[in-house]
Amino acid sequence: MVPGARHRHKQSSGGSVFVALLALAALGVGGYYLYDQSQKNDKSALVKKSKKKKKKASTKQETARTEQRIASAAAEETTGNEIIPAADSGNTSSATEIKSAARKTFPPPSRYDRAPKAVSHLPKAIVDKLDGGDYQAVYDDLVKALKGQKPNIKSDEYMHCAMLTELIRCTGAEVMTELAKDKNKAKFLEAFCKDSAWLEFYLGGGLVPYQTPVGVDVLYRIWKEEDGKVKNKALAVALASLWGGGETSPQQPLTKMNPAQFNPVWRYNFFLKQEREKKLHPNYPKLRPWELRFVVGIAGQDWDDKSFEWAAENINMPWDQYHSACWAAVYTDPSRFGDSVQGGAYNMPYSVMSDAETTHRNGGVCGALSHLGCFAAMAHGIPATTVGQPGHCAYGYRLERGKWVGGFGGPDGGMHNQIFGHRAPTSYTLMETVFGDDKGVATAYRKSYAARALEAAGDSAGAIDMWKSALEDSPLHPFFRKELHRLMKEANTSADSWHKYLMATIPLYVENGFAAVDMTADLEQEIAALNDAQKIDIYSAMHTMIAGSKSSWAVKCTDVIKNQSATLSENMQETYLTRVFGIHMHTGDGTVFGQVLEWAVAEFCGGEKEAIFSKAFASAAEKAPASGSGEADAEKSKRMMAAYNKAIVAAEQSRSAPAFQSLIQAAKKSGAASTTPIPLNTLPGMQGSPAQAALFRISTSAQWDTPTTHLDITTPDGGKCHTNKEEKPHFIVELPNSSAVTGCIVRKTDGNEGRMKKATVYTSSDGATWMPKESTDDMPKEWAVNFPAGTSAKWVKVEFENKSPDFAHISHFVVFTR
Amino acid sequence: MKKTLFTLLVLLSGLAAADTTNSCKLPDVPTAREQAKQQNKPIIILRHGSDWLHDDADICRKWQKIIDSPELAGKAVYGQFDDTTGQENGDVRKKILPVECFNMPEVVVMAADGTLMAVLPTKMVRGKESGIIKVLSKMLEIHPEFSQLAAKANKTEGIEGAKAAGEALDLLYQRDAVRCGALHNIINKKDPEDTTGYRSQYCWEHMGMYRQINSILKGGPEGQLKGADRKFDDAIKYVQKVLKNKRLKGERRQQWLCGLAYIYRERNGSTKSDDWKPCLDALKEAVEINPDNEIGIGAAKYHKFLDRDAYYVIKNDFYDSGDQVVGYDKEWRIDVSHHIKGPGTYTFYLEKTKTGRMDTKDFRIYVNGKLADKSDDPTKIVDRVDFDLNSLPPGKPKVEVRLLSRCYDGWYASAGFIRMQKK
Repeated sequence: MVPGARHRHKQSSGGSVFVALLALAALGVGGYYLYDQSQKNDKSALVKKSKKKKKKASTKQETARTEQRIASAAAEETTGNEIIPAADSGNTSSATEIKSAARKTFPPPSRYDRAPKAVSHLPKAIVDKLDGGDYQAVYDDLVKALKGQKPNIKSDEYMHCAMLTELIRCTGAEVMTELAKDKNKAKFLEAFCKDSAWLEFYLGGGLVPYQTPVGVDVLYRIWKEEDGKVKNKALAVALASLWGGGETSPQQPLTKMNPAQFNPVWRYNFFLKQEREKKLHPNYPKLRPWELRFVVGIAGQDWDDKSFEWAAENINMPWDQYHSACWAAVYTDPSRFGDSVQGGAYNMPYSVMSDAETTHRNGGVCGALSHLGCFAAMAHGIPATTVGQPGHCAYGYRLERGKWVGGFGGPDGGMHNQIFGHRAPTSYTLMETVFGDDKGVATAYRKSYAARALEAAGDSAGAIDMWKSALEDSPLHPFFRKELHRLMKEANTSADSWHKYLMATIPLYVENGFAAVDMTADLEQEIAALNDAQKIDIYSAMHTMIAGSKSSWAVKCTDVIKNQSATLSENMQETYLTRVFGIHMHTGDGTVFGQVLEWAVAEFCGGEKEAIFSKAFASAAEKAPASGSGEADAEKSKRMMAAYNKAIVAAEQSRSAPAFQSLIQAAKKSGAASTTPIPLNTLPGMQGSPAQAALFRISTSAQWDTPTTHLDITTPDGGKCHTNKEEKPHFIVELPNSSAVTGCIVRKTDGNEGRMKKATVYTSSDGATWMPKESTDDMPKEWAVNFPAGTSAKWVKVEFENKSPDFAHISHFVVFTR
Repeated sequence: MKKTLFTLLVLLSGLAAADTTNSCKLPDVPTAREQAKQQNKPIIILRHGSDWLHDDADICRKWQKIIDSPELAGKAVYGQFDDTTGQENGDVRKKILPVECFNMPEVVVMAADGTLMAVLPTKMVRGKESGIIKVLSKMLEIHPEFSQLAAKANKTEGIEGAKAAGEALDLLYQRDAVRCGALHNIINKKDPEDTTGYRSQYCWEHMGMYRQINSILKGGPEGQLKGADRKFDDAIKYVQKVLKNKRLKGERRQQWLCGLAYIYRERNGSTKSDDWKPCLDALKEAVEINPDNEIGIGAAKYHKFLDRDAYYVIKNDFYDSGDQVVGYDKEWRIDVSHHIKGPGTYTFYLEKTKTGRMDTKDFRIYVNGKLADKSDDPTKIVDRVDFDLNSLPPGKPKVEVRLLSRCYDGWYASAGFIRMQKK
């Protein structure tokens, strides 16, 4: 049965007046919040469906099993009665096609039946076997039974058998047999195994506890608490998954906590109560098990049960304000008792209370406050998680699918609760894409059970086809993709087939570029076996996807490029670099472009490979589209400039004159604003003429720096550069060759001219040994220095000396040569 | 017929929905402030949320009843801040009232000029009407004097200005007096040396206090003294002087006592002194002032933590050392009665789930308070021991394992399960 679909059927099966009454009652008493558009849609759909259904009801027999009809729906829409696996696509998507690919949009989530009635479709022989409590025997019989059948996800019996096979595979036959030795647990296991809908929740909830009794034990405890009549099976599944982990996430930190303080049954009851009292967000009843996972705890860094209770009672804010809920506690260090947050005694005085109350009373720093904000949201039925950032802890919460909002600098970073990996935004974007399609993912899961059954029965080819079919319904599901890869490897798939497969698959990762890279993590050897042209095809497709994805400081492209480049031969590096530059220079918000440039400058500039960089950059820059004039273009241009600025400073640090020149030229072509020329008063008095600099270097760059004008600083027109606070900030002009230098002019920028008093100008012939030429204790705004006759140098430096670290900022550093 | 019924229901539900979107019929904050200024009356604002607070309609009804009561009606200007969802509202949220709010509903009382007088927290607003009326009546009663003193504080320079501000704060509840930033600013500015004692009483929350204490310890604002070289005596004298201020009462007095305990702890830690009495006395006095408020609860826990004679009782077969023992031996008493299944040899051990460094030694087992067995070498660091319980009294004896524990890691504590198995 497809979750949700059954609910819709149930709602529409009554008379229209009854349905209308229900809907209106909900509206009237305020029990149904008019919060978002999706709910409004739900309501109108409810009324429309009721009318439509009435007509249908008169012509169709409605006595057929609901579950069977609903389960069939997904398959009917695609291939009819039979599951016809997707053929291996031989089409290689062109770059244009990739660019035009758009992410699918899915209908908003709707309320669904979270406690569907337990219905068994298992054959009697299997049911009888369950009584024995030998789950290896049950598994063997199931495999035998399935072996003789044609996979059919519309068949209740087939699917129930396949899901039970999958449950035993995941949990472990030995584990289940051991559990069944306890009389009560045996009773529960039998009930659970016979409940096809609950099994479907459990197996499709994201992370399925693997080779452990923890998941089913959590369900058992809830089942026992409710005397076998579980009111919210979806919630129970979320807790089981949170406690039990999964095959890709075997850690179970919650099982190591004090059971008296971290109790899934307590949490289950808590959320039932809160919902009963209408204290939860209006979207809560729509949350599926995978979403509830982010409501019931934080798998990696949880707080105790009582924190939910405390937060629910003591933090109540408008729904869209939970990003500031962290400030309900004081950001403080030390504590009220003088203890530093770094010491062990910080929370000690309040450890008798819940973590949330302790934090509220005692205050804390980022970790405690972010947890408080997170728990405040979760306690109100809003999915949230804390995230780790370098030296910081933040959090994110979400009111609607796909829209994670940050608190205290979140939501990006390392997620402390996750399904598809910790790295946000990659992980949550992928999760939202996969699970956002309720119908698609439900169908895909069904096919995945069939694929497992086929494999267990020894039909690998059939399993491959079934996985492919599952991936047609949920193309980005990383677990399914991994299984397909495993079987394709076992089937000795040829290099050309891998190439075709990847070229057809990668473009599906719209807005999930980094997930496309992760998807190929297990194909290292297969990609290595491709020829360079094929590799570049694949890498280009990946970068196209990355460029179209949400960028973040938390997700770095540097490693991707490094790894890809390492697989290519020397003579393909330029082609590769040109492609990568071309993609990121013209697409995306500039963040990834900056990372690419930084890597490329470090990798190629300043050595023998410098020409590769220059040619590749110039080639890509030539294809730069003209700047637009809209607001979006202005923002894009701003980001692009930020990328250039970063890359230019990187080129300076790597002392790469060609990279520096290329980047400055490219930046100017992209529309980098030049500063208004500032005339130099002392210019007429200088001997010689202004030299053309090869490179300008700044000791450190600050936010007020304008690297795109660094070359201008060496000209009489001037530019603007700004160091960070330093004891000895300095600037260096590098000439193309060693020359007869006659002097220089250094001019401060306008404003804050009290800085940069003590200064010295040096020259050097090797870039390492510096000869002082003139010093001053009170540098004027414009300082002209004449060098002794016969001075020859390639480098000229001006250095400022500060008693305590201070900024330096100049508009000109013009070197004169004869 | 059905059509008519449907239309009727639509209309009725529309009316009901309209009613819930703005259930309080009161002026907004700017309007209320303007009226209060004109009428020289205090402003009382209900802060609530009509589009998300589950019982908002009930709250509004209750609130209307309260402000219509004979004690309150017409004596103040009543307004509302309907804190609904939406960024636009979020932008004005912080500007419109003198205090931030994280828990609604709450009531904010301000003087006619907008100076904060009181905040009635959620618990109180959801509580008995009589309690709310009582607090608000007090605010109405003190409003003329409070306003007069606040005006004087603003107009008068020097110590006298600070004194007037302090006297205005004296009229308020302590919990509100420490939140009244406008009057704190006056005191801080006009009495930087705290000659009136109002600064330490109202204006310095704990972070300011520790900044001051640590500054003295280090030898002044630019001081660099560290460890045992720090000026402990100067800091103690300073805090003791503050504590002589008779006006320093309640939570703020507790806070300064904790500050004093902190200095003693730092001194003992740096000088390896084992004289814990002055520190424990300071904490004890803080507890005695109010054992139930947050500082009182914390001070009691701290007292137990530092008192070498106190021991911890481990419950529920789970231990977590992180917030219990840091750097010295502490006795744990663990009830294991429920594990006892007749006479025999029992293995007791700690099954660690968090592996912060912790040493345990000197294991003993008591049956009904009498020592029954102990580890062979009490100085040897172990986490597992066999106890012989070959003779047990009849019935269900109380069996307790005692041990000494020392944890070295605070945040990365040791935690885990208590295990007791019969061999």
